[in-house]
Amino acid sequence: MAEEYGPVAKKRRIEIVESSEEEEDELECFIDLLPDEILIDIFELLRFEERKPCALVCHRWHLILRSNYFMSRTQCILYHCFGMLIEPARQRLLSNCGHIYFSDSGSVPGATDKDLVPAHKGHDQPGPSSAKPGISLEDFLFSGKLPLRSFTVTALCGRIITFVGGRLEQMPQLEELVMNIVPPQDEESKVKWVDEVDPLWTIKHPRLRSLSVLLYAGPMSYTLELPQLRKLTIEVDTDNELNALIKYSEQLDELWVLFYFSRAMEQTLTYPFPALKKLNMKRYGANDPPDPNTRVDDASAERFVKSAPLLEDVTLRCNIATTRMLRAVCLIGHRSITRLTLLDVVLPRSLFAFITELKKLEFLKLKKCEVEDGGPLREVDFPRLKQLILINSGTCIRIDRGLSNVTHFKYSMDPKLSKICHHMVQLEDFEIKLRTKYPVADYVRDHFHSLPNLGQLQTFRLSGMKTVNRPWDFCRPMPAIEHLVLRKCHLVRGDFSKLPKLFPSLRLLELQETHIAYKRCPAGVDPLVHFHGRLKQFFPPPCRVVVDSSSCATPLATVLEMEDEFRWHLNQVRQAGLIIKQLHPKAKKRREAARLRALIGKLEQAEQDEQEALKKQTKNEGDQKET
Amino acid sequence: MPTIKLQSSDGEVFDTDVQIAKCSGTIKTMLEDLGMDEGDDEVVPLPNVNSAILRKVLQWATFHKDDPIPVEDDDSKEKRTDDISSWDADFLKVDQGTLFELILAANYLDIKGLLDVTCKTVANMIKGKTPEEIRKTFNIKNDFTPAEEEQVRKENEWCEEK
Repeated sequence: MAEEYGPVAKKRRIEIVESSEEEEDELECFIDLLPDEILIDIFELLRFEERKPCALVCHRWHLILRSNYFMSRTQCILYHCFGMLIEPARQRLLSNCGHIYFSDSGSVPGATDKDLVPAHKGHDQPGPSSAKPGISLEDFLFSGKLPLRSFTVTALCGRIITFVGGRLEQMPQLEELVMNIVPPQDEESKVKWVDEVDPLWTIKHPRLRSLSVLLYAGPMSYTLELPQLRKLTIEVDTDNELNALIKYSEQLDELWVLFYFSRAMEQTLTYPFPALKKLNMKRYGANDPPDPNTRVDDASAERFVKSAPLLEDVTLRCNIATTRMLRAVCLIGHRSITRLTLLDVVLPRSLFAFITELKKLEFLKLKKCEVEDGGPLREVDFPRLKQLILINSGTCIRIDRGLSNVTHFKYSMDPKLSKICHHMVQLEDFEIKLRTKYPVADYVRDHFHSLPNLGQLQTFRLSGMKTVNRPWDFCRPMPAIEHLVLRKCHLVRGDFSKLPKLFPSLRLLELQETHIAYKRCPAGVDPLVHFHGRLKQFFPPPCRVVVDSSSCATPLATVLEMEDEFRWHLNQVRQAGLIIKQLHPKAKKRREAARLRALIGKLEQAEQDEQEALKKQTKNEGDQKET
Repeated sequence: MPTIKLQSSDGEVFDTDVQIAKCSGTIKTMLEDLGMDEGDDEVVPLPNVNSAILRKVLQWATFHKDDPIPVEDDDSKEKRTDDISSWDADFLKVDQGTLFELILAANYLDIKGLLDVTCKTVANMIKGKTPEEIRKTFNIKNDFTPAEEEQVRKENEWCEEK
């Protein structure tokens, strides 16, 4: 459509321009007539990812998009280092931004970018400073001028205490603070940043509403002076955290808590939480079912739920927390609870059945849940349930007419898809996760043809599709679907032509973290841009094709290699060197590191075995040839 | 039906149904503030709108005069741009000069419906394009040096939605 404008605009311009004027080479830029406010209105109509190319158009657009109006809703990722000078370009970007995610490379030996310049002499370097003039990262962050509303820092606890210290109030607008405390990677940093740092720290801020302290590295001592605190995310490892809990229990409306020892959980259950709306609870440790011989004090869990009459949203993770809490949550909390999530739980049916008390339930998520005896619940009656998520939890609830009022459903592929299409006909938004522990290609072949039964379905999401289980050949056309999302999928280039026939009414096709697998790509073009363009030809306007920045176009051979996950993973780990040593926000403590180490061990062992087998085989073949 | 006279910047006078003219918040306030009565022979001058654009604006307002008053959109809701009616889409099949002058006029005259639909049209012209394609579409001159462009590219990588 837009292509029409060029020539037309030229014609019109020639008509209106004074005839005596010399012809300019350039066409008039009409959009430049608009005042900033209207450009802002127009950019506001774009999605976040669609605004990124606009910042590259010209200085004026760049300036508007970097203004506080847009940047206050943007999070800037800052891989940098405490104590180093901050470059002017970064300063400009960060000066209007509302949210910063900062990862301190100084917390990992050898990780600091060589281009960074120290702002002042180090503690252990006597003599004149080699530093250049400028402003250090921490002086910039705590200059008092940044309009920051949330700040996430990942670093050694000693470095946070040293460089943040008492300066938190110098972020006057701050509402949310997240601290990911990482473990020291070597003896030197342990001595310098853990042992030699004053362990007592007061976290003080007059406005802070949300504090999250994630201890990936054992205990840290602090006291809190946060009068406005409403949301607390905390791992209870010592009495230190218990003190924080008792101090703020009466004003919290949101609590995420992970207990490292049972006494802490029991203790917490005795505190009142009269304002609490959201609870997310986990007891850390082995996920064994609790010892049936232990006497469980139901009264304290009941007292706890009674103390929180506003409770709306409850998440219970792992067996210990769930068996301790679920009965009380259902029997007492049914008056207010509208959302329930259970993760990583094995439950007796008698206990799980209590969830049917939650008549106000609008949202239910079960992930890796298992009912160990007596079969799934049948014909459950949740009159208000609209949104249901069942991931690897096939034994919990039977798919039958009890679920007929659900409109939003996400589930991991299993043989029940036909039943879903028969009973859950109100579905408007349906996500099928194909990446499960089962081989799903058979299920796809047997059941995908029943999808058109879902006459209300507008949004269809597929995640984890691979080249081996791509469903297109087993589908019938689905004219009701307007919005198709492929997330973490492998979309084969040769399948493009099949899609428009299956989704004739599509208005929006989204690719998220998806690989377009191609055999050939013309030279000299960006493959993703090229195949995005091809895809657009199959879905011409008014349909839009949105490809997010984490998607890419990948040669089919590479995609097939990736699908052989075992070896792919091994190569990735090899190439990355020591992945464990990197600061990874998702790396959960030592256990995660241990898991990774074990995985590498296993992978290497497997490869060794394979190579030996291969050697043997070639030897055998050689022998055979000789004979 | 009562009418008023609107005068464009180039002097042309448009006899307009009052109800239609009042689509424009600016004219509505003018009439109320100045206490102009219907039937007065006074002319309302609109010095920022030429006759070609004013004619288009009045054409739009005439078609939409019976539209319900739009409710304020919920801010959290994602704004759609694919809900342009086919009449509006046809109406806005104009050259860029007219389109952007219509936006300016809608803004000056405070006609929310017209401003919305014209902005959506421009947003749709931006969507899914590379920076170079956007520049080409609107004849925008690239005033970045290659180094600056590289810097902005980096900035984009550092930014994510919150």
